Amino acid sequence: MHKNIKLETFLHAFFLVLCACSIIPLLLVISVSLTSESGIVSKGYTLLPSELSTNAYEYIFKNGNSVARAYGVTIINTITGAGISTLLTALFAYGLSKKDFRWRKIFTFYVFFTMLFNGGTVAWYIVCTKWLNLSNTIWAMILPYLMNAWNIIILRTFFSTTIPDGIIESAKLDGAGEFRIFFQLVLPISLPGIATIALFQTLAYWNDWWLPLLFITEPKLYNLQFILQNMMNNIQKMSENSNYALSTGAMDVPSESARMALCIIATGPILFVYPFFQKYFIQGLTVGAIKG
Amino acid sequence: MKRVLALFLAIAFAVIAGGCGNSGEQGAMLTEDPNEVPSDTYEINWYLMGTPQEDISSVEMAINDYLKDKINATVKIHAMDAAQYEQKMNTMIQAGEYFDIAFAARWMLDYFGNSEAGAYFPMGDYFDKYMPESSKQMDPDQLESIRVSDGKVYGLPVHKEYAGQIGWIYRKDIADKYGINMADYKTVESLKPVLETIKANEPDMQYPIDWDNDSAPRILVEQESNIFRNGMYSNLEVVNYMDTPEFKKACEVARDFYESGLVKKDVLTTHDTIQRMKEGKCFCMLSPLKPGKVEELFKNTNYEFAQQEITAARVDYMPGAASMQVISATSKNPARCMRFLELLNTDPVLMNLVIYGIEGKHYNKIDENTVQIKQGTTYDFSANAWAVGNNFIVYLTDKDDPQKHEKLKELNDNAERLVSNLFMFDDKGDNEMIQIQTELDVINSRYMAQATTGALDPGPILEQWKEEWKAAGGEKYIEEMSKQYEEFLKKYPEKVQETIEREKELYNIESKDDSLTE
Repeated sequence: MHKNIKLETFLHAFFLVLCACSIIPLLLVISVSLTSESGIVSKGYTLLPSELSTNAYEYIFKNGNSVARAYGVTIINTITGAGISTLLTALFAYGLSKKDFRWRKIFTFYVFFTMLFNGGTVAWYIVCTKWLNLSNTIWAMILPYLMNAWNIIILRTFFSTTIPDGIIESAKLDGAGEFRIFFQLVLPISLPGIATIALFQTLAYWNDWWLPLLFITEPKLYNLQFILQNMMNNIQKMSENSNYALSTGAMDVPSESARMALCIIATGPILFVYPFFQKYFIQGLTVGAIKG
Repeated sequence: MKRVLALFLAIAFAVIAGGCGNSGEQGAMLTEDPNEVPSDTYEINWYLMGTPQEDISSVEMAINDYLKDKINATVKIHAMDAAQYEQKMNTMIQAGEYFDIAFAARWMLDYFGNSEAGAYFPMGDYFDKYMPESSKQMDPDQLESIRVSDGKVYGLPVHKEYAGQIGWIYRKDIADKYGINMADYKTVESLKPVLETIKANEPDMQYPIDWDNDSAPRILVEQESNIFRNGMYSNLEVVNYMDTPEFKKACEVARDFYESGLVKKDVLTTHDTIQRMKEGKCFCMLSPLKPGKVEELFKNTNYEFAQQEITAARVDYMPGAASMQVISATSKNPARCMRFLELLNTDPVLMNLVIYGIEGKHYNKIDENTVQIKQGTTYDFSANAWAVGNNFIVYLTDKDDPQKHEKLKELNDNAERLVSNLFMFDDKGDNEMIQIQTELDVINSRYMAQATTGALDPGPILEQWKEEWKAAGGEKYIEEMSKQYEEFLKKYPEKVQETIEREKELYNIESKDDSLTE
């Protein structure tokens, strides 16, 4: 008993420190975003705002509707992208997990192969721009991430380990077709696995700035992360290249608090999505398919 | 499996063949008569570096109307911020994707590498036919500096200042208050007592001077290249610049200022020098200067700023390669693109449409050459005019110095020309040399900020730097470069003689001369 208390205190302390390590920087960013510029100048970064002000947020939302619009683009991308991609991944993975599927090996290899080798950025870029004509369309930010080999393999393993053949056979005996089995039987009992993939994809779409960088030149279609990324990179570029800095004067670098506010705006919603998915993570570990 | 492979190969060949297919087309187009308005309309896809402007479509329409009777072309402008521009354009070039005109430079879209690889159109061959005026605006050295190893010119430099000086940017009101004349301070260390006074008396300016890697005291003793001793005396020999006593001294000065608390504590990692100046937290900073720089930098600010040059004006290294427009090898009508560039660089109406937008809608004209940009305008590309075209026909704003263009021209004309300006190291495809160069770049960029900003003790850093530099083959690199440089100098005997004369006069370094003339 005595030993246990010691161990527990240690564990608690350890995790408390770990929590602090991840929470404090976030709090700091929130606090800086709410501090007035003069407060930052005189007191530096503090955990509690030294001079409370919402100027930074006002500046961002007033400064053109570009941020609001980018927000919309990101949300559309994330919802459609993550939705379609989860569905496709699940359908594909389910097929691969069925032992009686004839082309199973070939299709598995086909997926697996892309994890080891790929055509490189340029070939992929040519396909997207020349043949699919994705430049400056919203699909340019959705299509390329739809299928992810890694997710397919995870979900395939999940299906083949958690769904007993017995349950599918029994459904077949009752006269259910393949789609009915998939949507009404397999999907509900594999929610934890699917939720995991959905979360991965949500994060991937939400955090993406790479696709707009390559395919979007129309400011109307910029997404949030890209604007953020662009802003940071411009600051970087200016400091890297004196030639550039020499000639560019009028470029306005956002103030420190505005940058932090952008960070908060960009990460905020995803913070709220996470706990919702977490429910399924824990369930996924504890609930089996056939009970008793 | 074999079949799949065959398919892949077939696709690959198709792509390659497609990429090469348009050279014949271009040849046919180059017969266009430069004095005639062509009957067919051609759309020019123009990629520009700069923040995209909201009202681009109405400006494009105005440009198209204007071009119709002149060269019968329409323009589609794709503007992108620097980071995206670099990534996107590099991918496009690698993929052989079609575009017409783009911005390129020595430091952006690898002008020399891509030209050699055939990504751009050799417009230099057609200067006389399609771009007579705009190419004659250039200084011969500018065009010479962008001649690629195959002897052709692939770009048109942006006509603007190509020389610079280094000096102070400072708060004029504070200088007046304490009776400081910045022209008296030719070195960073001489400014120390002044800064100490300001620190003691101005509560807002706890760190009265500011710098980052690009504005640290070392920039006073060095300019473009880290290999030539441009900033100091002889630029007729190649040395490891980081190993010179002058460089070491500059690092020590930075360290001294840092330890005395005259520069901010996080100087190693932050790059917001100009921002801090704008907010009134600093008294001064070192900066490369040109006439009107302060007006450009501090357009919207509550304080009064001024600039003071402290070094001689000098033509830039590679004076033409800092900012150019290039035509893509994938362009379907390079002749029309060249005619467009010619017009852009000679016709103030077109140029100012691109830069300021439409008169009355985006700006108001005050007099013939001065404009006032409207509050909350939806189109203003002036911050990036330096990357577009002839800056001397761009209108001035009401905040600019009315004499700005004359002063810039004067700067160009009076700046001294270093003989090393046109020299470029050629790795000759030697893999070992390429590797050494890459490694040295990595090492130099790792240590540069650490040694020069003063945040760390420069003594041990410089030692370590030198050791790694040697281990990576630095000496071999210098040796090869010296060899090439000697060859290069033989082409310009008068310039070498000139340099020696000037240095004799300037520095009285008799002993140095003997070794140079040998």
